[in-house]
Amino acid sequence: MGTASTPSEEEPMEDLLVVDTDVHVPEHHPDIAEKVAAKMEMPYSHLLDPNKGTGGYGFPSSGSHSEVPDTLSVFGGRDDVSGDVTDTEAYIDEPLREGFGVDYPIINMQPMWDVYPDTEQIVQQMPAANDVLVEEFMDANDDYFGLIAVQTRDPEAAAAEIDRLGDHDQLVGVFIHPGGQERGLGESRYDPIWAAAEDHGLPIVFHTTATGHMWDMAGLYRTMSKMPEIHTLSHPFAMMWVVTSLIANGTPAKFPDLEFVILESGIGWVPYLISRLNREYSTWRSQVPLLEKMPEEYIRDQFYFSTQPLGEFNKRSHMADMIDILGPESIMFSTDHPHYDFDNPESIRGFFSHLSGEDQRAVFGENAIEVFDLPV
Amino acid sequence: MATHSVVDADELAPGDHLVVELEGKEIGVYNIDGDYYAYTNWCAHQSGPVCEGPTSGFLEAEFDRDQMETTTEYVREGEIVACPWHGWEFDLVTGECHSKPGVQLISHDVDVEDGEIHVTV
Repeated sequence: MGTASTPSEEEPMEDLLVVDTDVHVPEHHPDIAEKVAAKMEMPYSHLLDPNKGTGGYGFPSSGSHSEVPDTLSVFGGRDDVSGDVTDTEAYIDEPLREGFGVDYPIINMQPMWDVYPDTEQIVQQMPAANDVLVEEFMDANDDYFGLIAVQTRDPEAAAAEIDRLGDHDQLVGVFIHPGGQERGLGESRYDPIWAAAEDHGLPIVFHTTATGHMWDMAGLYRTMSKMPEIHTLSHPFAMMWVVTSLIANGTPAKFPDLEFVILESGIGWVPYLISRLNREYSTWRSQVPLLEKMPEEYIRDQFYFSTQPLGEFNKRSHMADMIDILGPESIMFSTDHPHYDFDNPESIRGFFSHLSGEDQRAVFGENAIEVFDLPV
Repeated sequence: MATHSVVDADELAPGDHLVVELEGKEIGVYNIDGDYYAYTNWCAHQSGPVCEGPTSGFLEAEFDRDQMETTTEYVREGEIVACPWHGWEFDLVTGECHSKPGVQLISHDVDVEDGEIHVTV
């Protein structure tokens, strides 16, 4: 795929500063779940410990943590590097920074707390997991950045967590997993989260999972039997829902200094959604009185979309069309390390070669540096 | 350009409108609080008969960031027309489209002379 990169003596991506906006250290990986559980009270400290209880999802099971649906095992990925997640040299530095030429990884724990049944659990698990992110990863390397993960069922608790950690130099955004929410994220009940993030100058980062989105559209996913069906639709469907809910409820107008970053959904769906939102807005404008401009303008001003997994048209020129319609100013590079659908920057950069040098630098690094306000 | 008498002024009360044909063009004539406006009955979106659409006001909304509350107020009753085809809303006072920036109704001069409404097309 893309421009085949030929092995050379040069370091990968040596000429371009690369920020990877989507690097996973899964909170439910047994190495991490154990550390998170140790920071929680009973019964969760027992229940969530993979050595004692049922493991990260917090659901009853037969007791074997190997039955927990771990995305690393279910969905594949780079098993060669993901054995010991907390060994940052083997897990991040060698494969991602040296191997792919990523300069600054933005690390998230990809929790899917809003699908868990127990609210008390997720409100406790949130700070416990974020503390593990800091201790195991932020403290390991000054060039690592991370995202404060929040559940949304208790928005006030989420806002308090953003306040608690929002001034940490290496925590540069707020991670939300769309999936399992009680209502669309544009509803005013979630405003405390947006207000806290805006107050701390932190962008909101959305990243769903196929498993999590099934929570919202169970009837649809019940009809699917193949991974190409499920994984084609899960991420863009979830993100269309998020962006549409935020626009339709005026959230970007209410919080004009807040920026939103959409991960792991590619970019091809965005022009479609923009054009459809524009049309619906023009027809139903009277129902969205908070909007002062077209949906397209809010999306172009306040939303960013990460590349991975970059869609693959058969015709090369259509790749450039896809990138150009959204525009390099709205696109950020991501790998999704270490998952099976990761993108190697050396391989996909050819699709951006029609852009000016400045625009290529924006996509691969500068946009992220600006939006996440990275101190680099 | 020619000026046409379209109706006696006392037959078009405030809040009323009518659509007439002048020089082969359909023209909507509105009385809004005693002021008269005339627009071509054509929506720039997809050529719908905009002047046959319902008139209304619209909601103005404001978000109070400190109180975290949104308040709305219904204003300008009778001054907004929505195209019956796709709902595009136009301001009958200015001709501006509220559904898409930069779009305008095609307006025509209106005068009242000797108790008759005259439209110039």
